[in-house]
Amino acid sequence: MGAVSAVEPLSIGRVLWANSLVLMLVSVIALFSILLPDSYFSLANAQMISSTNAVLALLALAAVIPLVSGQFDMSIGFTLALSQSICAGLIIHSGVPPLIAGAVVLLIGMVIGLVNGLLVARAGLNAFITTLATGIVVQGFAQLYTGGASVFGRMPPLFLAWGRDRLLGVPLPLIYVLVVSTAMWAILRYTDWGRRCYAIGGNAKAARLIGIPVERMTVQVFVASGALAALAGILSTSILGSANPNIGLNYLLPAFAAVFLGAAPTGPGRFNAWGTVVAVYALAAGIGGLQQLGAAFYVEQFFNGGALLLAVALARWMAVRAAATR
Amino acid sequence: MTSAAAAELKQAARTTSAPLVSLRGIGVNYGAVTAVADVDLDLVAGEIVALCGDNGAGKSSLVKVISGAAQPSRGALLIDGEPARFSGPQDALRRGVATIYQELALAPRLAIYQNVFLGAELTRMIGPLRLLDKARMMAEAKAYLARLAVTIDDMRRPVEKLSGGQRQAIAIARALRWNANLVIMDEPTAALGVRETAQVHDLIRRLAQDGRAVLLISHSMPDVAALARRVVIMKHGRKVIDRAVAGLSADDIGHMIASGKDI
Repeated sequence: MGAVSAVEPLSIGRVLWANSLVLMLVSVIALFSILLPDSYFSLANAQMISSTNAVLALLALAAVIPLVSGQFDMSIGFTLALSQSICAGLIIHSGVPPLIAGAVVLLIGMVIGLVNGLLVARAGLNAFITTLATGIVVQGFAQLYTGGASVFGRMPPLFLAWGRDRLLGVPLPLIYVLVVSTAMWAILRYTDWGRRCYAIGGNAKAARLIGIPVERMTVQVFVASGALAALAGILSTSILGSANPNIGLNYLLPAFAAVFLGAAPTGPGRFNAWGTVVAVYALAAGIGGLQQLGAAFYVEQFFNGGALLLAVALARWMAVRAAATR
Repeated sequence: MTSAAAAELKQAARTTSAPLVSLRGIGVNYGAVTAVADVDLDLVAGEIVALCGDNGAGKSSLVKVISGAAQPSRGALLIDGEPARFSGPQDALRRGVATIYQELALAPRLAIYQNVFLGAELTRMIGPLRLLDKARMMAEAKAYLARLAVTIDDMRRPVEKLSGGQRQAIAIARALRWNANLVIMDEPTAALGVRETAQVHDLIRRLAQDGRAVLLISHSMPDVAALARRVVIMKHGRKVIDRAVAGLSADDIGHMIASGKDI
């Protein structure tokens, strides 16, 4: 059995491709900074974009862990909406202290994840369909709790400060995203639990045969996803100061678009925390720039969908080319 | 003394020892259907034994018992002379019986070292954190492969980029990592070309030279004739032949499987 060369052909194209998301982020920012030197290239704009998209980034991170393990969690968008509604309702209408409201909402998110996990792991149901169904039910609960209307009212300034303050000019929401994504990156990469998530996603049957507790880990994965979605809901409440029970779908599709875009350069199935966060902000920076140039609100859909299509097509092309040159 | 001669000597010393795994009067029933009846079998360190038989002869059912995937309806399974009962394939693995399935049970996108240590990763403590010890896993994975005379430089390569023969080597290295005394191989050359088949033959011989017992399930008579020291043939759930392979051709073995009679 001959030796295998350790060195992949290290072409410029390959290096560019591996870092394409960061390049996309940098070039989008550079392009719009040149086009809009006064409005786009400003600290205020950077703070605004990084803060408002932190919720989307957290939600996209919630999708990452199940995807790493080969499972879809479609309920996360609706869990975000329910969390937002309950968090705002408890604080505004029931006068519950924000910390306790947050804890309750986090618990609800974990319970939704537990139900999803048990249905998928123990009952053996298809995750995509199951979480779509539980997500719709969760949406119903959000409408039931709020009567279908947005929740407005006075909130304690300290709670609003969690979502609106800055540390040395950096918006707190961006700091939360950096903390969560760093933790997720480290867990997936440096712990046996994380490595086993990739193993289950890569070959669940092999993982089971080797003794990895696939069912138990699947439940844990969905609980983590539900908790992160709830966290995104709490953060959005704190940024907005209000809640909208029907916001779920608006967040769900961009979150998944970002996760898949984030995994495109690393190869099929290699979902990862950093790529996801960079993808969220690359898309947000582009959409923000286009809108400042006067594009209509729906440019967001074309940009998100177009970028994802381009990324998967490029990924396919790179894979075919790599196979041909081997 | 050359290393090959040393290996021969080591193998000779180990083959004279007591069986690693013994089956006594094993029977497997599925409802009213008898899949396996009254099978005795001894598997000894350093020996490659081929298990043959037509489809439905009871091979798979017997292998499930040895690999821990099923419980026997009757009879006893002995490990080092002690009665044993496996609760599942992982339990068998912990007790030194590794099964390498036809589809290899590898995670194609994970790196070589990650596959070798799948489900049993090496970790180290950094303060209160238990983190993966990648450097040690890579070094040890390389060492296991070296024992199989396989040289792959980069342990970070994903398994999907390896050839079929190399993938077999990764699966076997995982058995070594679990320190398996008995390695069950299910049709190891089924999907391979001529050159890769020769490579896998080499791997299996090295495994036996390393002091492991190998149970080879194969429909390929050339494999059996080239590799096995002993051939066990099943028919209608019973063991009908258990003899040395020396002097038999691939055709002879094929004839014995078809007729169920020794020649």
